[in-house]
Amino acid sequence: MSHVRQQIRAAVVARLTGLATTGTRVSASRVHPVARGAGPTLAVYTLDEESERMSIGADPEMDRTLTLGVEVLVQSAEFDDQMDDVCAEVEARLGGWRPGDPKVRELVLVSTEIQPHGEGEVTAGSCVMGWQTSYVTLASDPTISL
Amino acid sequence: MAVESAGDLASFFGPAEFAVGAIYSLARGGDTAITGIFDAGYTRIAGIGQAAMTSVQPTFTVRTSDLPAPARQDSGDTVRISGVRYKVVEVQPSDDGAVSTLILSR
Repeated sequence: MSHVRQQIRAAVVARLTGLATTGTRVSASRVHPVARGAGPTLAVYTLDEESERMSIGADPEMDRTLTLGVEVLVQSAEFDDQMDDVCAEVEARLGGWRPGDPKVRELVLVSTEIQPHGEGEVTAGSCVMGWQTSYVTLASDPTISL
Repeated sequence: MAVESAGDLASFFGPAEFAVGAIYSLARGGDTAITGIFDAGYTRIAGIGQAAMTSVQPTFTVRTSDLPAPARQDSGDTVRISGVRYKVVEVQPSDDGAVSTLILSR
């Protein structure tokens, strides 16, 4: 069984696959760069997670607040408009949605950071949307949300 | 001090050597045929987060004296090379100013 964090990430990737603008160009991490000429692309990864002990005892319950990054990458002369189009589609899909497990709380958009890139044959832009959720696990078992 | 003589530069930027023909178009109007060395090397564009993109960075290196006017960034000037029109987005003069590398974008 995988970490709940990984399960959430996989659920978000599945949820975002098939959007009108990005189609199947969604990945659960992005080690290798997006190829030249590829259309708008999404990368989903963990930005950070904070954990807090909720109970006493040898194996306490842990309240975890997870922030996922959904990064939008666009190479286009109209990257501003295209990025906002993709953001609108992502927000419509993820806003208020529980990623997979019903015990995991709804996703909330907490930040959007945008950066243009002047280098390269075509202007480009990238944007990271921070999506927050939370869940509870036992300290000894991060694979099951309580 | 310039390393090359004007003759050296002229032959270096000749079509028989490394250069290709192009049309330099001023934003205010007027086309000029010039020659220069075109390159489009690999470049990696780091995203704002963990991801990145790959691209190429077109450049066109010319004798500064061949330009119809001093090349300026954000002037709206364009260069047409092999049928492709590029915007001049950055101008990088050499130390002695004899050569300019134009950074291009589609």
